[in-house]
Amino acid sequence: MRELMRVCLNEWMKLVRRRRLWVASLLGVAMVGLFAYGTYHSYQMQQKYNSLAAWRQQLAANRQQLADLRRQQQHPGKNNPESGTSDVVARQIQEVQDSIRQLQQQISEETESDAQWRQQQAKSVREEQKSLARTQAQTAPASGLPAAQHQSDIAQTRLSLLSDSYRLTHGVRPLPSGSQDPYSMVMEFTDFSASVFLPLLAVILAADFISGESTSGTIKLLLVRPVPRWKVLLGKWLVACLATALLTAGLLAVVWLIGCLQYGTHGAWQPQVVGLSYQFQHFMANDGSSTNVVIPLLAHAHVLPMWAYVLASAGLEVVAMMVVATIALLCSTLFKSAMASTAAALGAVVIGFVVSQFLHGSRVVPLLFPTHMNLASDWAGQTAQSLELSVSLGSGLCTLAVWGVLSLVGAFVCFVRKDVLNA
Amino acid sequence: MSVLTLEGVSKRIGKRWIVEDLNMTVNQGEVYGFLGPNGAGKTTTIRMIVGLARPTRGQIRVLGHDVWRDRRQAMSALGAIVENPEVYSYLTGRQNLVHYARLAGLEAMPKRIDEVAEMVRLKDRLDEKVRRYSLGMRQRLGVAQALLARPRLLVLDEPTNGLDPAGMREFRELMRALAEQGTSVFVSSHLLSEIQMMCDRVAILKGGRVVGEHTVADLTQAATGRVRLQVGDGGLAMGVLAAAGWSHVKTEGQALLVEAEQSDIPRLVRALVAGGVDLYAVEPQRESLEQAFLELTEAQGAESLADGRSAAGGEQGA
Repeated sequence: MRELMRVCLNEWMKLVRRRRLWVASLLGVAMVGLFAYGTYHSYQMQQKYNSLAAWRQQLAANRQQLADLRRQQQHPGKNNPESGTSDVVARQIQEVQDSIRQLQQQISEETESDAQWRQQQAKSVREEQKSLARTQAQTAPASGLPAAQHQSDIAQTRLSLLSDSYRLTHGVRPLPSGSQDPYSMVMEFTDFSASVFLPLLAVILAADFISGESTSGTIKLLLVRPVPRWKVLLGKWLVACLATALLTAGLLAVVWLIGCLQYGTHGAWQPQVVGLSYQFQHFMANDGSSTNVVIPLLAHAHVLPMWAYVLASAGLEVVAMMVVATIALLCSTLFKSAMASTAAALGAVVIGFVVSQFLHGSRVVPLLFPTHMNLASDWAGQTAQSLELSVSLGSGLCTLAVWGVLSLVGAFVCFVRKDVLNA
Repeated sequence: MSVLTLEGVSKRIGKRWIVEDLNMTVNQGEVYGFLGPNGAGKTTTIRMIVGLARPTRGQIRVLGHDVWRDRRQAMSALGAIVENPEVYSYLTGRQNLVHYARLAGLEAMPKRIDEVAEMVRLKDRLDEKVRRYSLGMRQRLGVAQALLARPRLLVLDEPTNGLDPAGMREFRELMRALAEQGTSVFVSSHLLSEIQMMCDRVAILKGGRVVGEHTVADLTQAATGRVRLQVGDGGLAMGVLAAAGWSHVKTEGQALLVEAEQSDIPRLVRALVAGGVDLYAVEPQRESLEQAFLELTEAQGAESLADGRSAAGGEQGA
């Protein structure tokens, strides 16, 4: 045990003095910076066109326009002699009035007091419950498309009931539209960086752990020690995983911090449905057209507050990246050149990603590790939705575990047995 | 007591046998040379001894411990430089030594590191990045890491590569001093003169087989039956010698090489003096290791001869 500790200390000492760690960290920080800028930009656009202040401004403008139109209606031909008939003016008035009503409703929804919101929410929950009871009371169609649609309706209503009743019982109002919060920012960052960017960082970190030493020849003096080879590799693997985990968690934490500084700390209690999976049923109609029915599977579904979901997602992301690091480590035992092993690991990530996009809907895709790089979206059902295949967090974790264990075993077998002849 | 034994060690890579049926023994306190032309299998043998490669057949034992089966015991007794001492260039000299000391599980680490740094005269620059070291300094750091765990057996592959003449001498003295303290040294080199000056015994490897294992004294003390003369007038001297019965005389620059036994020398000198030749030096020729090496490897056939010559030629050029 103390020997393993010493091996780990060595590997850590080497890692922090190599350029790779700093390249990966810098790339990560640069990406986070760009992401924060992009989010801020779209936030400002939202604020400009889609916020309470913007609506009020629009409302005032609409009222002005309405007044103008009314005046025009009363004194036809006076201000605008060539403008159309009174018909056209009446239609325009109608349109403006509609949009005024809509804006007023949006504003009142945003500005209503908590008590009013609670009443509204309770009402809509009751309505959903009623409609659910009604649908369930109907005799279910025996089979085929109608049966699937019936099932789908029930499940969809239940799904929206889940988060609506959560909001009601915990008194969590939806965030005002156009707002931004640190929690959804972390999830957005995970969404767009998990499939290629974070794995890239993990590969940069871990793919030369052994091949780098083969290339420089230092592996010879490393292995002529009393420490058995498997222990050397175990130490390397632990340090590679630790570094990957720290980098991933660190980047997500930085995103969250930036979010807190820019937008405040609200949004922690918003509901997020997890444990969701989907079932997809295809039906061929007589005329040859096909219908796809999506049925949410709610057996394991429950609602989590956003902060818990984000924290757990970060943990899942760390696990996924450690699997990538393990695969990269296998590559670095298989290839003697650091360049070749990095290329191979990177190729696996990128090709896997492309294949999972390309073979959309194929049964093979859920078995590939790049499909499950974003385990949080496996958990929340987004992966299943986009692949149109039943994928859940459990199956995602299992897939990654199999890849990780096989890579690790492969790396150990290869590293312990191989002759170091021309390093 | 034997510190290193090789018993019937063979290694096959693909279909080719790199080395076949090696048998060697290195005793305690002995400096053992391992000579052979390029491609003879020296490096492969060294890698098998230090446990980097597994022998296809045969056994390698360090202090009686099999290198693969009792790896920990065998490796604790062993310090090595394999080819170039490739250490981590992005670490300082001290960090490198700390790294290897941790792997050896050394107690009292900082003290021992200072000790070995002192031994190889690297103490002043130990806290500099190895990237900035000269080749010679890297070589010394290599020696330092090999000595770190107080090994009973040092295995060195071409250890004097990149050292200047002063460094080579220092290194030689260090090896001899270690041997006197009871450390055994197994050293391969293509520098025949190095081996000659440093080693007690030498094994000569040719085409994957040991073609001779001799003490260096045996190899080099055999008289060659030639005497080297430095004389004032070469022509006159040759005449005198021919008259006295030594007809096989070769010129070598200003000197003459006469085929004569050691016991003939007094007679030869008297003849030259009587003949009025100015005599500056008389020197019986001893066989150098290089000649012995060439003879041993040439005996293996025409193909070996070419290899042996090119190895020796490379050495002279270096």
